[in-house]
Amino acid sequence: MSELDPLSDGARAAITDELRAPSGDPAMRARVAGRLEAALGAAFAVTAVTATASAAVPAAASSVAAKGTVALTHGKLAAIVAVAVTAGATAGVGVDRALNPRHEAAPVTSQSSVATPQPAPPSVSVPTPVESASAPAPSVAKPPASAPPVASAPADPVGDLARERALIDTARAGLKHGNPTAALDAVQRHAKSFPNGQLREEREGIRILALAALGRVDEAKGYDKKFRAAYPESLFRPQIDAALGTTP
Amino acid sequence: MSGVSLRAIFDAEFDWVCRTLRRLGVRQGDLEDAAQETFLAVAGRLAEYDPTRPLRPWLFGFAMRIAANHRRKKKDDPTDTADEAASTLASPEQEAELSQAKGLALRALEKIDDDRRAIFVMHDIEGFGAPEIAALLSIPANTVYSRLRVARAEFEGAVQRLTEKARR
Repeated sequence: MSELDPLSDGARAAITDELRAPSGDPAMRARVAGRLEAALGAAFAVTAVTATASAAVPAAASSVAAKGTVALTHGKLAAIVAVAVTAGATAGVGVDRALNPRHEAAPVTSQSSVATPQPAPPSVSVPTPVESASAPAPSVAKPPASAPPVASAPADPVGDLARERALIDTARAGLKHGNPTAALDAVQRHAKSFPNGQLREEREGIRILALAALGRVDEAKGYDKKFRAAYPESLFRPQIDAALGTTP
Repeated sequence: MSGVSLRAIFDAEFDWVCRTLRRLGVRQGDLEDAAQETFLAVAGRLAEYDPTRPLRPWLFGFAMRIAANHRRKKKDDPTDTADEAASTLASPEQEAELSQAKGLALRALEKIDDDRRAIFVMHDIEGFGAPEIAALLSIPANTVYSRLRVARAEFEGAVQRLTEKARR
């Protein structure tokens, strides 16, 4: 883990304003929906998409484009489909390389990659397992059956996220400056205010490291047991193992 | 295989995708096309989405790629003079109007290099965790943090400059 100093008030205010900025252009939404529906047909409208149906989507879209039967913005469907399919093929793992081939980036081995094909979940018929409007938490999303409804945005996701971030930054700074007590205090405040917050993986990772730094190893191991179960692929793992002297 | 419908994703996340594209440097005039491209790309890979995983980081990967394509096209097109950055040539009144419409953060984001901007947006605006960003970009977590530090400095500097300029 690395530590970051908190953002300045001015930068935070700018981000908060950006998050609060009105978003959404209903007319644009309707136009794009109409074009997607025309291009993709049933693949756009159906509730549950199977592997077969969705795999057929690019071909269907290309076919429509080739026939020129759908009028799209600036007549760009063919180009759009080509770009989109290419993007689909390269999105996710390796995106950074695509954007920045010069970088030294080495692939990580964590399985928390979100674009890598995953085994099918046991229940694929549950509709709309879309995350709520808040940014998703790392690594461990609730399964569809217990996922919040699409419209169930938190009361103040913007302020909550900013407050979460501030507490986690404080906790990180505590660890960085050799003050695990301060780190733990920030962690506890975060846990109290945001028990299921979006940054809970970071919180719990920092908690374990802070407890270990304070010599409260048994307590740290207790938390680590839960952490390991909840975030088996966490990138905190090596650091925690080193701090607790546990086997990876 | 995925149990998610593209329509459900579209309905829930269209606005977010648009905001994300803007934050990643897609111009307002290109936004509609870019959003459409993003959802078409998602359609092509929907079968690979694991509903037990958070949706937005997955979508972010598509938006990032589409935004990069748009920025590249813009740079490659010498006839493309509709750059929003040209607003620096506008009158103070026009500039103030543009700034207000666009928002300080969006203008400051333009000052961050592309590779770092995505990380900044993911971490400091979307609240994605560093491990999640590292996995999405296939880079080490320490690289995420080092780029983020630079991006933050760039953003802070830009916010300060823009704020001071607005006061004059």
